[in-house]
Amino acid sequence: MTKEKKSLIKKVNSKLTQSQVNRIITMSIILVVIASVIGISSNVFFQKKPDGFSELSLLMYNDLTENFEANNYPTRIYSYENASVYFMVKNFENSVKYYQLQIKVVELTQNVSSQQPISATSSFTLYANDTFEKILSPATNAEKRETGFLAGDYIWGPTELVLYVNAEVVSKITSPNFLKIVFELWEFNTEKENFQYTGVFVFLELDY
Amino acid sequence: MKRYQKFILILWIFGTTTMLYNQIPIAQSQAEQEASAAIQEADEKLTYVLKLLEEIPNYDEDIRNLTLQTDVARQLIKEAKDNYASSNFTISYQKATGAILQLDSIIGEIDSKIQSKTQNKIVVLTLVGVLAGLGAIVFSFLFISKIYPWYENKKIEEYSKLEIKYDNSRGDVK
Repeated sequence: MTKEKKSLIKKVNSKLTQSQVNRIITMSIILVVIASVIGISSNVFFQKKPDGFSELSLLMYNDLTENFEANNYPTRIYSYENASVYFMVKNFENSVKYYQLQIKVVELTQNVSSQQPISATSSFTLYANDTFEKILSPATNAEKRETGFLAGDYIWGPTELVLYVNAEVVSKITSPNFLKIVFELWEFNTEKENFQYTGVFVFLELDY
Repeated sequence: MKRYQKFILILWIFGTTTMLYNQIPIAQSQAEQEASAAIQEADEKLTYVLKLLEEIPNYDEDIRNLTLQTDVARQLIKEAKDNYASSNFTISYQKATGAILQLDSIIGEIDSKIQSKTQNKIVVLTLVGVLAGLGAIVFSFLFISKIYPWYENKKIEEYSKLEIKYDNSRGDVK
């Protein structure tokens, strides 16, 4: 057998193994199709929920337009003159939330953080006996696209708050003539079975 | 009435009054304990309901109504706590038990809803699984019986058109 013939047989044999490779490719395609079907099904039926958020806002009631607006906030508060604002909470999370609103009076220079709530030592909690709490359903996808709505199962408020400072608070605030009223949003953690700070806050700076 | 009879009567009145007077704090303490236990139970049930509501994947109208009812129960618990703080233990107990009853009813409704949803999910997933499996089998069958043989025939047809030539100088097959 010449070298050329041996080489030809080798080439033909390699063609036969190519056929086996084709079979392997066929099986691979079948496996890929099955995996794709399972993958698509699992994506459809086990969709991961996107991250949500909670919204806290302060509003004022305009008597002329008879509407709530994020404008014309009070600028001063005295022991003989209360200030009135409205708060509103919206649940854009993906599950039911049990919210609590904590209102704290602090020095004007006090930093407010979304990481840590204001500690009890550096603040005076107003409304110690009046807890503001509410359980809210999450907003539906349609409700998430709505803007300017003030009522719904996912909305708490607008609820009126009459802000006041008493002599005790005034005596403890060292910054002259100014104070800060911070509204912190807390939510109930069912695992830890207590309220945890959401990191959502708003504040008003007022003369006193 | 004789003197000793008067004495016994006075003694009896004094004893009864003392007994009754001592019973009042005991009764009050019992009411306080009952109210406290009821508030604690209501709190635990509220946490359990919240856990159930958190686990629900889809919030339809029924679940939204149940959430509203849960908030009413929360309000009752708050009133029970306020009354407890004001030493109105009987009212506190009534409010707390009212909340417990409401929360029990909510738990029952959520459980039945979750159960029916789980059953529906199992049916749908089984159907999808079976259909996907059947589809894969049909595709494999078609591929093996029709597509692959057609491909092989085509390949043979193409190969048959080829001509083998020997090039002694390079040893390549053309």
